Amino acid sequence: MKKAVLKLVLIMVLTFSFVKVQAQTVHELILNVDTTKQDKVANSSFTKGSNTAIIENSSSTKFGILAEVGDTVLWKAVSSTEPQVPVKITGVTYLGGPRIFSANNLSGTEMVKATIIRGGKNLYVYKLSFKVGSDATEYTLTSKIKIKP
Amino acid sequence: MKSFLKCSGLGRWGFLLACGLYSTISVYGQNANLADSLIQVYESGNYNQAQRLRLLKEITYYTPDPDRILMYSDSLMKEAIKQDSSSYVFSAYLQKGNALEQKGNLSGALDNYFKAVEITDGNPEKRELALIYTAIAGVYTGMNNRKNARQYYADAIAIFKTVQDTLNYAIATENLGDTYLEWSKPDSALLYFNQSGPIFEKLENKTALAYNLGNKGLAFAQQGRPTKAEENIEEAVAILEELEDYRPITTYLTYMSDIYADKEDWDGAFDYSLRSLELAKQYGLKAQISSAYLKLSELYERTGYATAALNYYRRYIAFRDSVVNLTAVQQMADIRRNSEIGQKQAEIDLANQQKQTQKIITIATGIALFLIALLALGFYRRTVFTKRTNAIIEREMERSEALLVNILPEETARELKEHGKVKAKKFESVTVLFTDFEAFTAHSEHVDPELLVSRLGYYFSAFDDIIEKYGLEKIKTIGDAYMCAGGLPFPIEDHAIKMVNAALEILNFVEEVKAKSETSFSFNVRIGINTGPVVAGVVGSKKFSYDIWGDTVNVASRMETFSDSGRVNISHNTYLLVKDVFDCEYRGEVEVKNRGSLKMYFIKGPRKEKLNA
Repeated sequence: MKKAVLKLVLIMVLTFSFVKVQAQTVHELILNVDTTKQDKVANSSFTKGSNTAIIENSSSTKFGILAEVGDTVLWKAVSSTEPQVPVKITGVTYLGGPRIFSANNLSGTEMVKATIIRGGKNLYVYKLSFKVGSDATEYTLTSKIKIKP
Repeated sequence: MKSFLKCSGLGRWGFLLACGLYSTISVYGQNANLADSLIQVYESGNYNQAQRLRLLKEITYYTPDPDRILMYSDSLMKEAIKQDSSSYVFSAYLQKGNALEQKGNLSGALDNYFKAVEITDGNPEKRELALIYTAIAGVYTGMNNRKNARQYYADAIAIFKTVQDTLNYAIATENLGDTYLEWSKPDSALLYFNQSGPIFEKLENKTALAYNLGNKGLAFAQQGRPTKAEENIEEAVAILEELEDYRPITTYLTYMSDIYADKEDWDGAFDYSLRSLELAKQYGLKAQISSAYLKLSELYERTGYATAALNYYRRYIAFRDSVVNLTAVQQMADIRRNSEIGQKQAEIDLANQQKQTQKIITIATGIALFLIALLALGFYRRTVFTKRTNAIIEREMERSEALLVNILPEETARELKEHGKVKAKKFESVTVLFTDFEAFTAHSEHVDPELLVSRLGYYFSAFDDIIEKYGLEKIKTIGDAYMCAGGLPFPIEDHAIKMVNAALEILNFVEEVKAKSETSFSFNVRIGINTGPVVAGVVGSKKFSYDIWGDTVNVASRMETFSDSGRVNISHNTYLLVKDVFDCEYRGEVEVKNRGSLKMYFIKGPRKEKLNA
């Protein structure tokens, strides 16, 4: 009896499974830095998860993703050459475009995570700050997010 | 009333305190560091049997993590049963209930609390009973069962007052204030909070004080005093962060979000809600996760992002549904309070409720499937019906087209079908033939009309075959006269020759019929032919008829009139076109009424050289 009910429920679920709503997405952006090089910014590049669409990725300074309101963006950084050297994302600072996050300055100790609360026609332009190892120098690069209308 | 926070669909407003067992343990003072130290001692194994029980009990009281509480309360239960200690079994049930309540499993929590009540029944220590009553009232508050919540709090407060347990008296009072907060009665709530707050302060109980501040903040917010609300809540959050007691923080943060949303400060509103969500996720607080999702859904909706609102609402539903089947649990709890049978009865009822739910699911699923099947059958029948109807329509259309082609030349029929009308066309050279049966009228007076028509049909059918053979076009029959034309609707060069050939064949046919002895009666036929311009077209909107008009037609008719029986009489125009093919006999100019003199020729037959050729 229980099995029969389960089967029926399964059939119902399959029948109505075409009703689908897009789930919110976490966009994990990883900045891979060649920590052996002097110019850390020029020798870095972004990688992203399979669920993230990019609008531009010609270099670390020309990188942009496509996201939706309600999505979460997670910025992480790693050394592409020295796994033992920690690379920390220290902040995301608003530079221009729509204010898609709840604050202009998003700070973190190792990574930064923020949820998109509003959209806009233009690109959200931000400054990503990171530090390498125990070095106090803060490196920055500019990147973008486009919000799906 | 303003829009206020409700946690995880449970109708919770403020935050409840749980009662401690003894005054030396402050509230159910969760202290992660102390708990860790106690766990270290417990794991070392350097204690005796009695100490083992006390250690386990204290771990469950100090640990903030509900999963750990569950684990150690299970160990406490086993050990207490082994050592036959009812007071420790009581503690195990109470703490297990607290942990489950913290995790949002209200049915589990209530189940354990009632088991603890059963223990106190065997050991009528009034204070312990009051502690359990406070815990049960807390769960009822979560279930939005106001009547039971207030009753259990009132019972607990009365017991605590009798036994002079100040701390727990204050806790029960605080929690009763919370239920008033839930009923949106902030003034009454503040009355209770203002009673309990000074007691917590005097006892220097930080946790209880934090809850008191937070609850006051919520009450101020309900009163529409956001600044005072924010001050109190921020103060409460700061204390709770220090104590690492995250569950109330998430609730207060969500409430702060509400305050900012009411001020339309969306950055602040989102910020607090997202902080609440992160914290709840970090510590696996399902009810608080659900609540934060709902709040975010509301915020996205209010800021005009419907898709995001819907997605967060879906998450809220998913978490809300996982919190437990509240209805079933409430029924169980109500029965438990009012019945001597107690927990066992409630368990039976819960099982029955589950069976009932299962039955309802089965019936609902069956009905849904039946409806789907009905719908599918409806669609199938409709499809079959449409198919059949279409086939009938198609057949009828084909028949109608065939009929139209029978009445009209094919090209004309196509033009009529496509455009709904046919343009009249002038043809410069068309040969028109008329036949007429000699003495038809005289015959018709003596012969049965049906037989007459049948004979006429016999002749005309043969004429139809002959003119079709030569690619000529039948125009109509008028009584016993038969009219056809050559050179339309598509102009052809040798229409006159073809028409004369057809006329000769008609004559032959008529002669052959005459020669056959079996025919009851036969006719002699006169044929007249003329060539010239005509106008052709279809007139009228009903009973379509393709016809030709012009002087050429009239002259052709005259040619027939002036023809002789068994002869083909042609006009001069036709003669000019056929003279090289047929031998013709010039009849001279014949006076025709209203037409003057017309040259006429009889066809004698094909020229000999043509025959030889």
